Amino acid sequence: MQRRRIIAGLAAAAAAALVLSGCSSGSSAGGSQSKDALTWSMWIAGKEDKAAWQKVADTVKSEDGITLTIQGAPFENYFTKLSTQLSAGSAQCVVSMQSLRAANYTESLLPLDDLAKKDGTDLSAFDSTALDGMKVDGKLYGLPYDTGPIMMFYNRDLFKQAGVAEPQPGWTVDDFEAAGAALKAKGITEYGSTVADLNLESMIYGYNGGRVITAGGKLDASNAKFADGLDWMASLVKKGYATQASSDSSTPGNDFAAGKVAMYTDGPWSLISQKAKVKFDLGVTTLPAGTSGPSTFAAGSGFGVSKQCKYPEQAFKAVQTMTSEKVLTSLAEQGRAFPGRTAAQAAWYSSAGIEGAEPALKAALAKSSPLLGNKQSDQLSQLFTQYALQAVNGQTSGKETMSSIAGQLGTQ
Amino acid sequence: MTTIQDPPAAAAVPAVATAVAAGTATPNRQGGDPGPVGRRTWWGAAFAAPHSIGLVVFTAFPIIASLVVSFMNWPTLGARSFAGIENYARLFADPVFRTVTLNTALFVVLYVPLNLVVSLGLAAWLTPRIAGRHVFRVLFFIPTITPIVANVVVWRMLYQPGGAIDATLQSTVGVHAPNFLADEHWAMLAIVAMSVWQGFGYNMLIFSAALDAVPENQIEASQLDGANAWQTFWAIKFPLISPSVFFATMMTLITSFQVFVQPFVLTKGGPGTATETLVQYIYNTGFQNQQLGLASAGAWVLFVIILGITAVQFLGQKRWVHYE
Repeated sequence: MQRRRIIAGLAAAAAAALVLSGCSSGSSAGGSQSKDALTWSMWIAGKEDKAAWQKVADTVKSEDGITLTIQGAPFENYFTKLSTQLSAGSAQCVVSMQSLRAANYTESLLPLDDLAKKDGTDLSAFDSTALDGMKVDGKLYGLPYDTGPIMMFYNRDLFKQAGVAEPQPGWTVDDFEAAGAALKAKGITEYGSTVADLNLESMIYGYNGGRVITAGGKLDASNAKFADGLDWMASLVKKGYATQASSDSSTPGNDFAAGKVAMYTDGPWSLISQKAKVKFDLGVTTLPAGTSGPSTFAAGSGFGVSKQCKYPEQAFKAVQTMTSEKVLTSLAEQGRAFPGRTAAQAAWYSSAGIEGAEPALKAALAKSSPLLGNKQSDQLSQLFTQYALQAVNGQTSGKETMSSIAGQLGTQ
Repeated sequence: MTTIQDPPAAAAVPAVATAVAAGTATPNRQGGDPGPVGRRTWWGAAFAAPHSIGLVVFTAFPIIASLVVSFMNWPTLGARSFAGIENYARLFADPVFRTVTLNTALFVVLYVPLNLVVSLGLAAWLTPRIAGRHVFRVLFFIPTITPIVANVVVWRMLYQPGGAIDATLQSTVGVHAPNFLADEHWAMLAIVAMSVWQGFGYNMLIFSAALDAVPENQIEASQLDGANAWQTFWAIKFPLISPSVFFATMMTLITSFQVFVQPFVLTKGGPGTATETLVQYIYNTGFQNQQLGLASAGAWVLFVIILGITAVQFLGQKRWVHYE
């Protein structure tokens, strides 16, 4: 009958409309911004994280009258999601950015130097390492909110148990190896080996100044000193002072918390959470210093403005509030991040409550260089996990490993 | 038809004739309705519409788009340009691509036979005579339905130095187990072992159901003829379940070529490139090196490989698959 045909046709049309509306609703999320309502992308690790960042957004609302909507993603997927949104043109206005990766996003982020000059922002109030981390080719792409040099976390109780003196900030590679031998004699493994890019590069930088990314941000994968550094780390594993490296970057931290190793490398961003997790007395010191004196790499995060933002001045105002002394001090008091503003750092020391943290951190900061990002940093990190693992575990020499890595970086 | 039924049949014919006459008499009253058959096809199209539209939008269109992208130079952020077959040329000239293809082939060659043997063996063992076979079936199926990433994390804890395997060997035999995931000779075997544990339950369920469907009278007849269990299985049961075996082989081959989670989470493709598979290569190229054109080209090479293998399977099935 005629009516049944109409009903059937309407049903098909309704189904089609539902399907098509389902796939088009995704793109409207980024377009609902106005002068007073901006979106902010951030990596969120859970409910507490979201609550803490929401407080920051509320501060922006009360100070600048701008409503910030946080759009979060877990850290592992954050940059993949960001790249996809930027290429689709639906990115947020305020973009959270890591110093390591800023070089990949220079095409999508607005250089903030002119806006800072116009607004009269006092850039010298920021920690110089943190600020340099946010610069690529001399242009500033974000205001820093946290920074941190890679340091050595150690288990005070294990050291006391073995009768070994605690490491002091500025201790040398010889001290490190001597402590390793003493701990080994008591059946304790000293160091949890790592091949995570930031930690690995910092250890080797401290050992002999070898680096795969030059001070100018260029890749130098065939750096001979770095290859020697890999051989040194392999020697630690061979002598039994260090565990074998694993492709899982959370293994050294977990081994440390379980008491299997006496020390491992990490940044101040993990200090408060590790302190809460471990059942022993936690100490922190600088990385062992080798032939080029104490040195380490620092990494940080900050907030930038995407080029696709229609309201850059409002976004920059929000970013300034988010990195203001008031907000960073409150974040420091919560133990969230070591602030990128020098004035707020005192609050972090007092809330951390770890004996010896302040001199260690100050010593490390004084001798730290920002680890610059490079367009191939992500690939380098993946290649370290695959190839540096073999070098640290003694299966290949440092030189062979670095030439394999250089070959892959060159072809792609 | 027997002679007994003739009278009712003779009576039924005029009834049918009347009905047809009645059916053909109505169309003109409804103004253009094509008749009983035509009315049914409208409903068919209406019900199939959501699925077909979804298929076109979410499957067919992205596949064609990916083919187009594979012929272009397409970075995630930046300018795009037409590249012709340059992406494919780069892939075939890249030694790493060759290595990952060989790794994937090695995984397939190790995993598929092992999976089929284990699942077929266990399905053959779980005859209705085993008490509690349903409990066993559920237990064997659990690894298949638990999230694969969770399984891989647990297995990594088993394999790592100081983990369960190492500790057990230490306490029983006194030697350290090799560092399975960091040793280039052991890594792929460790991944295959974990994958077989994860995947055999699905095939086992298919084979178990197929074996249950083997008619009892065939098995009784073979036993009467004096065949033992082994002969019964290979001469009677296997040919009768061969369609299921063909299906399981084909599906396992296709999914094993696409292996990604196990090597990526266990070893991230290391040590070196010992366990890097084709899909991980595509993932790295697309999301780390941000070259979507090259990644799409890799995906299409994988598609052609899988298509070729499946075609060979279909051609070969005439020889060993018996459809009754």
